[in-house]
Amino acid sequence: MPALDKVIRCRVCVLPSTFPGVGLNAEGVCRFCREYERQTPATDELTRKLGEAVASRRRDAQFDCILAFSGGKDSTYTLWRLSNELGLRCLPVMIDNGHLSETAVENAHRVTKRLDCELHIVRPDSEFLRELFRVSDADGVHSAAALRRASAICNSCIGVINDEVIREAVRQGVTLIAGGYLAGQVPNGAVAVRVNVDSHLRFEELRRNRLRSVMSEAATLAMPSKWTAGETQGNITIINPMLVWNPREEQILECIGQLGWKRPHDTGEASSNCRLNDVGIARHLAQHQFHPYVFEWATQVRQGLMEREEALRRLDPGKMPN
Amino acid sequence: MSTDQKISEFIEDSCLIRFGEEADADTNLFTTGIMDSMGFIELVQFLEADLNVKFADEELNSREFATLSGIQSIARRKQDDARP
Repeated sequence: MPALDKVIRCRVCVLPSTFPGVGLNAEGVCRFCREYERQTPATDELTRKLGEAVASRRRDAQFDCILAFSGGKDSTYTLWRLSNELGLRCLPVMIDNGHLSETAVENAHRVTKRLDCELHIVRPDSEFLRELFRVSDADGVHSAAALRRASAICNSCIGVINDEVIREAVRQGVTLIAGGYLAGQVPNGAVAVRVNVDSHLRFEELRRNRLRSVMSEAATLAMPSKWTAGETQGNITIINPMLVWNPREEQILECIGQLGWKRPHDTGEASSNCRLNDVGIARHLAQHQFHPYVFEWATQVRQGLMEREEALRRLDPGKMPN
Repeated sequence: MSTDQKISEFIEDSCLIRFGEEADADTNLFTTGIMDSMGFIELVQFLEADLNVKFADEELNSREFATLSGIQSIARRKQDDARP
């Protein structure tokens, strides 16, 4: 693996020459920077899409919106704005992956109480989770494209989270799901995405099949149970409002600090809820020769939400705390 | 660039594959794990924006929508239908 300080990086963002499909040109500018203007939808268009998605939600259920909630800074900020600014009755759904920071769990309880929301915590079987994280790096478990955006461990967790929040939405008769994903974590245009429940279940079955092929039998048996779509529910809309709001990190921290949110000290710098994150980063660096957060941070640099120097500082594991 | 080429290039770039090497036009992109649910969302967004068409759920859930050749066929039909 090349030493990190020797890697050639895009001179506009921070994507390294080791990043798949980076396409650095003779001027040292990556393909994503060159295509940025053309591929980024106008803010007005994103705002309109978000507004339409929120307005078209089903309104006769107990909740307006299911939120994929980690207790971390971004989903906490999302919960606050959805509740306070848009007046949505949110049900935050938190998946306990067995490695959540105690501070993150305390934050989740404190913030939801402050915002007068219920907190729904899902606890998958510990044997299943242990095996899920163990086999995450196996060939074929995650697509090459998914591994450009996040570590294998994170992708495994995201798979469980996505299925659980869609399941809860169907169970509750809710047609709107929100995530606290930032630019770079999801595609540019994913501010409002229509998801057909049958289509999700088809992908979910494929995901489970891939896991079954590498997991122990005991862990396979401990997988979260399969579910089926309700007869009346065809489509759900998933919104990622952070792609419209685009707050800088300091704005997020200032805002959620007022809700009593405290930064955990046992999660590493890149996460604000999970103690396993740095393990995923280390394994990803060793296996793929690029940092699993580099696409996210490069996107934020490109959008002016993070200084390039700050991204470079975060990318150097030698300078990461703990 | 033709619609067929645009679709092929988009899938190659977003899924990090080369048709004719890791996959061919009739490879099932989903069962082989080449494209996951996020890739599927990106593909549909790209097609709907670039071709200015809307896909019905039945089209997206069809077997035809699982291969490059099938996606290209559906896209061509949608474009033909949209022509006055």
